[in-house]
Amino acid sequence: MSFIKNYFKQKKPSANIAKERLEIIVSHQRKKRKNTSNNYTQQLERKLVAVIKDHLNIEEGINIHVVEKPHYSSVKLTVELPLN
Amino acid sequence: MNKRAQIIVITSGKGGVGKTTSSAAISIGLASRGYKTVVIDFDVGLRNLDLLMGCERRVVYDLINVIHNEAKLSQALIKDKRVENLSILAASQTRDKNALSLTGVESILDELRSKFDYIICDSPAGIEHGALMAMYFADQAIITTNPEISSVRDSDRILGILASKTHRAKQELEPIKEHLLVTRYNPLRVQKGEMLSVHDVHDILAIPLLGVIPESQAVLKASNSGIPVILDEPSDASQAYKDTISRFLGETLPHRFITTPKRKLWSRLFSTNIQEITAG
Repeated sequence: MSFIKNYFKQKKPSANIAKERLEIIVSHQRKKRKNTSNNYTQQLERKLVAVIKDHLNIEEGINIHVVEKPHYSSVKLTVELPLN
Repeated sequence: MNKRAQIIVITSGKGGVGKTTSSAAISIGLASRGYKTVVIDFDVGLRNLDLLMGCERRVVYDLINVIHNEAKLSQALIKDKRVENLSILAASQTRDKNALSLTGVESILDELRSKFDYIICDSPAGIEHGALMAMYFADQAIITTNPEISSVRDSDRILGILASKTHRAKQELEPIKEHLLVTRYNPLRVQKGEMLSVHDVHDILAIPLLGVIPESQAVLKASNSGIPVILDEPSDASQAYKDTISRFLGETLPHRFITTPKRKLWSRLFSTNIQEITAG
């Protein structure tokens, strides 16, 4: 029976397969774009720097590193505290 | 009043989809409608636009020469011999790609903006430096896409970059106006289910459809002879590009060449209009 199944499976036009695949790929790409740094991580970065400067009165030594991964992003923050 | 040209980037992400063919056709189309037009090849290192425009032997100075102040802009602009109002600025063939600096590009575009109505930027393939330079200052983008899975995905990537990495995006100005141009379209293969339809591509990318250019033998013939395909009057590709120009200038026209011709061969030979069909 499987050869009959295969026969019908192959009947599906390849253009339809392409469309289905593309719909998934493109929606993924767009979701990723929505969540990237342009929106909230950059804002977070700016606000963090502002808060630190408020409290510490330093201009340098603030390092913020945003790592974007498919499922989550992380922000690493290091601040060099002045000696005195 | 000072002129302020519209900057239009012809882009795609993927290579070989018809960016340069379209840049040549669109620039000739706009110039022959009376608009002062300049077309710039941004593909530093691999220039091709001069070949498609048939002016490769007239290139003395190029884009990079102007950026490096080795030539004046007026010396580097090549006037088209067929169409009034059209100039070509060739890309450099030899130098390294980073020669294309953002400030250099900006100053050239600023100078051109006061002299022309339309500045067409022919982007290189990819999403690297050259492509970014071509799109950076654009007001409008024509996304050239083949009805093929990798081309559509790359076009979507380009839409993302247009919306985040360009001057308009960074300055939070009105976003770049996007247009979809589907090229190398083969209605027969679409009918057989072997090729994505223009409706599929349009659905997925979800930007306004500017034109559909059929896969056409006239395109290779045009590049062979250095006469942009839009000038090959009776050809289907020429008509499709002319329609595209009309739509770009605000006219509403049905899309042609998107379904298989219904009449027989002999009537096809004696009529140019039979493939006319409305979109939808």
